[in-house]
Amino acid sequence: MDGAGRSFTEMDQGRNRGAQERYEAMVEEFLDPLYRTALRLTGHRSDAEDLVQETFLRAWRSFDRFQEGTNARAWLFKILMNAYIDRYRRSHREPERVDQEDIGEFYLSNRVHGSTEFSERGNPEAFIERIMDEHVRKALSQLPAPFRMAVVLADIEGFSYKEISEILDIPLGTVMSRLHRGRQQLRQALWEYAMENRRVSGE
Amino acid sequence: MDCEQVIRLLWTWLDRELEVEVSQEVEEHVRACLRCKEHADFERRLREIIQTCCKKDKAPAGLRARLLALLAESSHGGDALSGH
Ligand SMILES: [Zn+2]
Repeated sequence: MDGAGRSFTEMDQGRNRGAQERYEAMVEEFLDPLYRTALRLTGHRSDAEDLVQETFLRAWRSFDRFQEGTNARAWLFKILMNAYIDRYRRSHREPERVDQEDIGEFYLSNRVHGSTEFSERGNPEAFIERIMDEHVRKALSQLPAPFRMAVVLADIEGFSYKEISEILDIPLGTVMSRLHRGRQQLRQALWEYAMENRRVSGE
Repeated sequence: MDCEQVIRLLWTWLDRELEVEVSQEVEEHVRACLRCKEHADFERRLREIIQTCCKKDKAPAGLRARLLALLAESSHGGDALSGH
């Protein structure tokens, strides 16, 4: 909390009222997306709040260098990701070594469409309805951080590959492979939770 | 384009990140092939579910207030500092 708890005061000299108003509007506009992303990254509400505060402090510090009319959303997300990596550098490094078997593109879709439920109902809604919010959150939280960052940016925030490559400072090919593996793992986890849930509910 | 190629490109296609010509080929195949269409529809639906879930998380009011207060405080301090 200490690092993020500093006030804005020490780096605001010479800022005019207009800059502050523009910045305030930015806070209003991007607070929710940044917070929910921080929550996906850290897994804890208080850590997410600290991370968002740190992000807005850093952003304010370099607001002079921010060009009006450029991609404010991508700029703020880049600052958020860097703040996260700085804080959790160790946990960020580890997952790169995770070796994962290729389970195929449509592991989940294949299983769902091959299920008896599907052949009975003719659509995958029975499975879809069984996916709980807590399953989605848990499945995302279990992805290695580099995969999770790519998946969250693409699938929740809707950034393009090029934007993600700039936000995470990685080549396009790496964006695609992280997304691919992240999505595979996410689907595998969702299938497992859905199966557990089914057993528990006694179907 | 056959199913195997389409399956390999499907996520990139759904992400709208394929070249125009390739994207059109995938689209034509998906329109004609029930199996690939099922995968595509399912993936779209799944993404919707994931988005809806995660977008429910809103920043706490306290955080918003704290950020705006820090900013206001900074402008206050800034005025004082600008005098020297
Ligand atoms: Zn096909």
